[in-house]
Amino acid sequence: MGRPRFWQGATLACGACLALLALAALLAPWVAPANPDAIDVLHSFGRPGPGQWLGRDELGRDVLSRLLYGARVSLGVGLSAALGMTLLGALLGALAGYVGGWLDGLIMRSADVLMCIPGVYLILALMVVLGPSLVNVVLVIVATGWTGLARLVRAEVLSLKGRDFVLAARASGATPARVLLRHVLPNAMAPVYVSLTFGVAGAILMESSLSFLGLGVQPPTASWGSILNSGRESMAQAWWLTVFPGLAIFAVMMAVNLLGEAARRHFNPREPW
Amino acid sequence: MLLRYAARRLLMAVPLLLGISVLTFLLIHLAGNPVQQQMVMNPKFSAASAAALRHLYGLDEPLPLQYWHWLSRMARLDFGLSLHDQRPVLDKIAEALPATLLLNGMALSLVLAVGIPFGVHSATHPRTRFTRLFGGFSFVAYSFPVFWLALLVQLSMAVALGWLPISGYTSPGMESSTGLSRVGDVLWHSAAPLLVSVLGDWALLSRYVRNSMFEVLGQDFIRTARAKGLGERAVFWRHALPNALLPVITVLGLSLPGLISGSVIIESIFAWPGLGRLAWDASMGYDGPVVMGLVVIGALMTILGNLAADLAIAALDPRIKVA
Amino acid sequence: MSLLEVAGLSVAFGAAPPVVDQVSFSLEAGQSLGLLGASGSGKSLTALAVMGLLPAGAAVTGGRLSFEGEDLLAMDPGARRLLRGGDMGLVFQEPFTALNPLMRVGDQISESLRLHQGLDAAAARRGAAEALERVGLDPGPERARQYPHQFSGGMRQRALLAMALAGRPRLLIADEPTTALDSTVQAQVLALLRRLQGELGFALLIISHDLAVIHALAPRALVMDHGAVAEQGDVAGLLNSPASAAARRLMRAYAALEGAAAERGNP
Repeated sequence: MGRPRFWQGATLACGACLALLALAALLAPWVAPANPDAIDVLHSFGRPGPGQWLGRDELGRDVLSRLLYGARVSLGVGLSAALGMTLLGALLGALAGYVGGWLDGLIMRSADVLMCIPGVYLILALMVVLGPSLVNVVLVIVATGWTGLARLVRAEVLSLKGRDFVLAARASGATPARVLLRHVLPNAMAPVYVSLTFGVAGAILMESSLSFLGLGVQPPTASWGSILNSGRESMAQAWWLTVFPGLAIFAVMMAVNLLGEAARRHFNPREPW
Repeated sequence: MLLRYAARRLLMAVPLLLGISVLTFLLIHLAGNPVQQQMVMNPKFSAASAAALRHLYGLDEPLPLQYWHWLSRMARLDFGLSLHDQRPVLDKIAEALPATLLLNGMALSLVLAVGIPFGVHSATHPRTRFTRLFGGFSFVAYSFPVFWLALLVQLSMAVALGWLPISGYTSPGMESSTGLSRVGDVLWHSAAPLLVSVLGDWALLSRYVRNSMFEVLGQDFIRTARAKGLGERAVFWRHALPNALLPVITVLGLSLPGLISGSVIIESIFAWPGLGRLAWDASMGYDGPVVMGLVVIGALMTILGNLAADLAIAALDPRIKVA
Repeated sequence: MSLLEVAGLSVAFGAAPPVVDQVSFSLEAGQSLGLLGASGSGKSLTALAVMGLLPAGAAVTGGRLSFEGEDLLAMDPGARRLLRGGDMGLVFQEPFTALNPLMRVGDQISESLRLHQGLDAAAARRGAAEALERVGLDPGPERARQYPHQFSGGMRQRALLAMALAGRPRLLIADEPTTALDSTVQAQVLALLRRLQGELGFALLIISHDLAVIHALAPRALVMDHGAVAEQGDVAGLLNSPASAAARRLMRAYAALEGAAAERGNP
């Protein structure tokens, strides 16, 4: 499974599928067969079939449409949280490594404190403090997820700081910011790309988990996690409410993780597997 | 020697704990004024009661003093009373701890017992079909959302097949039973949550072990051992395995906090009365004191877990300078 | 009957062109032979083939290997394994990574003693301490209790020698034993090898890209180039009148180094 062609093919396939999904999510209002919020109690728990390909939920809403609209939430949160987390982590890590001194101490000690607290508890605590909403979910993921990448980037920057081309740039009179942005950072990007890809998977999982637990999106907004949650009570009668949303999350996670794995192999010396 | 090392590491933890106290203090204050919350919920709340409550919570004191009170309470592990049932937070945590320790202890043992052999085998037999399949399966297991797996297990094992109980710690009517029948009952109830938590962690651990073993097998001292004429078994058990398992101990130490914090998702789906379930109930009920208590206890456990891992490595790896 | 006879040995990775191509030489008991060549010339692989330690994917594709008259390639794998570390010893070039970091140095030597000489634990421990002292690591018992990271590079190379000699080999193969060491330490290790050979009487196959190393230890040498033997003969002869292109290249490099050293005023 270490063959490069396999990974190139996998990257292409996953990338294409994810792009297709993102497109479908964006165009949900035109692609979805029904209004995701349309309550139709007469048809509640409708079995999957023509016209309701993935069945209906307890209020008769079409699951397929809800999943499509839910994709917007899951993918949107996943991407924005991962981007935010990566940007913050890379920036703080680069600053800590490059500037050093008290700033380094401050940033790294903050990271240490954050990493001390079991992630779940910290996130729950933050959600209790901020209240459940999509924006808060993104904020919380960013606030707790930047530490890992910050450490990695800091290490890279520290090792790059002493290299010749950096010294040359500084000797030519460039401002520290310019040296950092134009010369140092571009060479420290490997862990950033990998972290970004795996970060998306993690963020999607986190958002679905939080929504599943009732602490993420609030009804009537649909998120894959919340659909799973509402399907819990009726699990015995309506298996489709449990299978399809979960399948969607799983498929996206697999695709993103494959991309992340491909990125990791591309940027790091290869280990056989 | 090792004791001094431990003492020094503990000392280094003090600033961390201070940082945690500051963070939790900030969070408590951001969470909003409990007095205001009371007033909103109960319109008959008089001004005098409000003043009394404010005094009780110390909200009428200057901020630094409030922080000092919080810090001293935190040091005593006094997190106040749960907003939900007025019981001391520490009591609730202490009650929930054994259930989580039981479940996660069993899960960890299973993961180690199965994961290490799998990881080692796939490193020593790198290109077999079994290893490739296992690699693919590992990848799938690791991408599988835990809550979906839990639901599927519930759906298939409990609902459809009826092999396992749907949830809970004990069967109805068995709450006060003791001895073997109780042990059996609890174990039966733990099967489903165990299955779920083991699957994901097992994939990760065996992958980690595999990588470590692989790296060790490529090292020069393995070649030296073979050049000495040692058989494969001696090379494996005496030279390769000890070196490969050393980093695994670090990973174990790092997973200790997870052992304590319990999986919120698994425990809430299977109604397992542990810390994770407590955390979820408290979050849904906006029970600030309990949540903060869990944060602090969780952090303490993480620090202790890291220390334990460091000590274990220092004791086992002669290259680490302990002096 | 020679101690070691290599006739037409060829080694290849799968279907690729051979990396060792029809190599032939023989070594008498107590004699020394050098294997000289640049990196990639196949000299290390030849040594590994003799020991039966070829890496995964490589195999002997032709030729004969015999040790004390016995065909190594036809031998039972178990018997061949016992030869390793016993009658046939091998020392590599990476002292920094060639010892198990988690095991005491003495224990690593005892392991060999117990396997090849059947000693019990106490006797093996004494033997290990003696072996360390024989290579100049005093005091033996104390050194034996130490771990590899506490030894310098030169010390580790000596320990590796002690380990390889623990089984009282009739043949010692030394693959670039001094390449990773400082020049002063190099000289010490080479002197040690010479002394040990005098004391213990083993045959020595010394492999190196450095002619000085071979010159110090062996009167005859093979020059290898791209897997094949380019030239064989006295080291003195090779130095003064190299016949093959490969030998000439190596002599030129050697002379350049010598010339540079002379210019710097080094002996």
